Amino acid sequence: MIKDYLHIRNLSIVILGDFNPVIIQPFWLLEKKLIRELEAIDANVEVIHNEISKFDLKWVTIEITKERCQFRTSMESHFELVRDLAINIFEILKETPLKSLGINHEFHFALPHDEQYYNFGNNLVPLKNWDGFLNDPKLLNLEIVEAERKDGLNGLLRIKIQPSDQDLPTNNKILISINDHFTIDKNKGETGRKSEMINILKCRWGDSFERVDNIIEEIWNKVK
Amino acid sequence: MSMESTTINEKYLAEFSSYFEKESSSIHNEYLKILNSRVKFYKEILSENSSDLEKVVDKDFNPDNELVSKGFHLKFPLQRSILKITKYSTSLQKWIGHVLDIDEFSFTARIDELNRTNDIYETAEFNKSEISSEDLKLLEIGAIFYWNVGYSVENGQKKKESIVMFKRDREWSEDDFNLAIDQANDLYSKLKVS
Repeated sequence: MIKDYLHIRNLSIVILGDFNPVIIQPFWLLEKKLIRELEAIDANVEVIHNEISKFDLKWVTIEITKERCQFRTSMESHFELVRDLAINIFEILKETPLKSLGINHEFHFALPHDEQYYNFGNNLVPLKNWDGFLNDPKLLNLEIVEAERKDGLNGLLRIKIQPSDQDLPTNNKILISINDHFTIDKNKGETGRKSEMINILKCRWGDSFERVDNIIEEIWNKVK
Repeated sequence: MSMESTTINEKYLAEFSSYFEKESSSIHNEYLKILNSRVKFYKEILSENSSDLEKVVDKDFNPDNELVSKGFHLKFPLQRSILKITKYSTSLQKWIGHVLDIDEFSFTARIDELNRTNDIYETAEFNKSEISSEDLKLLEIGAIFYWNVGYSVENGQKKKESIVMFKRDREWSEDDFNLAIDQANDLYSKLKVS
């Protein structure tokens, strides 16, 4: 199983819409009882500004611009808390228009053997196709898109494979990023779009993880 | 870099301080602490590369803006992402728990494995001493929590851990209750009894 070589798993929830960045900040979250008091006091606030707010609560980093709101974490133990936080915030901010949602998964793997690493790229994109006009070709980046979602919802699934830049136990480092993207129907009106988006976070969360985990294993089974 | 720019920054900081000193709440004191540290940070960085200072001063700064917008009017190129992840955690197993019973020193809960579709569940007893004091305030019958068993890694140091974290929910307003009642009534009216 490729998960035997998994070292870091990141998650980010990205929501596109029209935001007021100065509203969402640690003491507002505390006032709404969405985080602990100590978390608000110890928050690492990078900037709070009309254009952008960015702060870190140790288990999640929140970055908001006027068009984009991102919750990012490397703490697999806290993935559900990050989802709950995003849901609570946008259930409170009833007037905030939302357009689309991404549940983005990132996996950093370190393969033990050089041969495995070479084969991973070579089996994904056969390098013999490049023989003759390139000297010792190697795969660097690969991006594959599922333009129509398998589950019938609006949106797409984008898979990106590239070398990982993290400090991992071996140099055979791979980053697989999967962007599970949902677009919300414009015809549903602001309230309908918001409730659909929140519903996706509540009800499709497990499906997103299950599908992404299956994809990772499928990729590994094909290339190992 | 111009001296005027530096003066503007210091003036802003003085104005923030003056404004917040008038406020007695601890929240505003915390804001002041954060603001001071961030402005100090930016100043230190800027002093190493003085030619950038012009770029970061916002000439449109208005000290009469809303409270939160008084915070930062320094335009600074923000890092897009964390370059190196030095702290992360992994899961070996995760459960979602529902509190069933509470005693003086412990509580009992039904626990279901997260992201599993089967209906198999277990009952487990947890010591209250394993729960953070702030989460203990959320402990009541029916409360939901997450239980993660896995590893935490910080600067390469790996340790096994078991964490219980209570789910936080927003407070429902009267409008929320009314909306839920309306939706329930709407569903009820659509029910057809054959």
